[in-house]
Amino acid sequence: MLVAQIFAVIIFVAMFTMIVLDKYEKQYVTLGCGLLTLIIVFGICMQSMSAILETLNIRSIFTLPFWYAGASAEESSSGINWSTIIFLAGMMIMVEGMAKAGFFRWLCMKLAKAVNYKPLPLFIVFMLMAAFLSMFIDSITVILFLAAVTVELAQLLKFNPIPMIISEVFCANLGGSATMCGDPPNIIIGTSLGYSFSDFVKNTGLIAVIALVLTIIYFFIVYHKQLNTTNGAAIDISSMPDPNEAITSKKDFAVSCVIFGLAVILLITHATTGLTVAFIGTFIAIITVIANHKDLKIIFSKVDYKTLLFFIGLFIVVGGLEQTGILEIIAGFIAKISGGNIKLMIAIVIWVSAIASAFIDNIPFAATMIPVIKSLAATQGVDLETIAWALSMGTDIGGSATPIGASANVVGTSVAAKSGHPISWAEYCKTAAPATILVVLISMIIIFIRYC
Amino acid sequence: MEKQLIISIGREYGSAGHEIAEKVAKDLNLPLYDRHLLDKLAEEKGMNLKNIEKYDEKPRNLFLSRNVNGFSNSFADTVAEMQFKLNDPPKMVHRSTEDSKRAGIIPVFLFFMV
Repeated sequence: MLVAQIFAVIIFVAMFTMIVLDKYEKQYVTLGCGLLTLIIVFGICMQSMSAILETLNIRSIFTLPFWYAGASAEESSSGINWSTIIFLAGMMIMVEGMAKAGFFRWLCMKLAKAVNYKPLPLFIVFMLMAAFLSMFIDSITVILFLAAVTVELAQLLKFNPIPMIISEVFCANLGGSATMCGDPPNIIIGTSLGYSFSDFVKNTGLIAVIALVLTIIYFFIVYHKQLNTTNGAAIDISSMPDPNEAITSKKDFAVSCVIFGLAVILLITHATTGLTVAFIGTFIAIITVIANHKDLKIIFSKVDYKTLLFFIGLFIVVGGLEQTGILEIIAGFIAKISGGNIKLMIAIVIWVSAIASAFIDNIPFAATMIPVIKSLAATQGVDLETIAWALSMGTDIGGSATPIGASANVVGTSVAAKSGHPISWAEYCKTAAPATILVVLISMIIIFIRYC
Repeated sequence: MEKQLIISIGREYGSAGHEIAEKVAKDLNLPLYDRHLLDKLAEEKGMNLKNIEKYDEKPRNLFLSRNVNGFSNSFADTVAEMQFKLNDPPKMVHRSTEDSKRAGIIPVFLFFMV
């Protein structure tokens, strides 16, 4: 087993290093390392066919609980988490349908018009919208549209878009932490540990709402002088883009709104209906495909297959660490450092997750940490839910601290730079890092008060 | 993508690479894109030329940058991409080969003047 453990660790470290160095496309890195795990760790070292089958986890797809189950039904956390992959694929297809119809641009422009294009109210409304949309839609899409509209309005209204983009990105990451489907770590945590959408809303959702109020106040204090540029001068509303121009087809727009509403209802009620996220993802994808049958080529060409393949490889590599018992060793190490003190254990999980997520991709980190917290809960008597919320908040919020911490940050800074407003590390971290520390601290305090 | 004729010329100081590029561009009737791309970029984006020059033909920092679906937080990457997207697809580019590759454009002919 020792040799298998050594190889599992080497492959995992090599994968992480290659992801950080970004020399090769990330899906090739994880799939290549996943293949090595299957061949070297499971095949040659462990000679265990059952480890391979358990990690590939294909059998689970053909079981009833995968599609229909009570919310408490726990899915296997070992190996490929097909629920996450199928759900993400379904949501990606839905989002492409919405984008094609002009939904996101219309919403941004409509809200801008509602506040009469005044920079300060716009600043607050866009932060709220970033947080709300990211509760249901991936933050990359939300920021892609929101940042593009922000840049466009900044040119028309002559304000600096950087403060607004940094705040929007932060709120998108924060909004993502509120629900099970908002941020990929939450989907992985939810499906692996059997938590429902409402479990997340009642726990991380509550923390996110409190943190969002404080975040808006924080960014308002930091940035209001920079955004108050019009000096009371009247804005010529007639020269602004008409929100309705964003709609490419009224029928597609109406249909995409209905599908989005349906997805939200299905997700909110999935604990009651027993429908799993895999079912919801598949169902939403099917109705989007039926509604957009004439434009399937456009929709499917924009689906981010690379991320889905990245997930498959990643789960196999993490499965290697799990099957060889490495993650139990890490859990034992955390337990030893904390000396059985539950508060210290939670503090370690939330802060280590936050610091790691500020610099590395939070998805592999969360996937790796799930078996670790399961082991901690089993051996140390700490409530699994409590430590899961700590992991969720740490990984979701930590990524906001730096320009590379989360995908939305990279997209936001890139959109700003392409419009002639580059955001340096120093400029980004100057406001985002203190906000991250503030929110992680608030999350930790709420977890301590509520659960410990 | 439309078929393009791209000639990328790298050079050392004193190799007369720029003059050769000008002559080749004239002979083949191709537009020449050289350092002046930066001036145009600065003008079009309303940016300070010095701020752009700092990142021109510079490698991105491997540990401080990340790429997500073609979006990069590295301004060096953005400067390279913006230069190549400034006009119609470039035909004759007197810039570094590395920048061409980074912008997703594979030069057809590569020369290095010594």
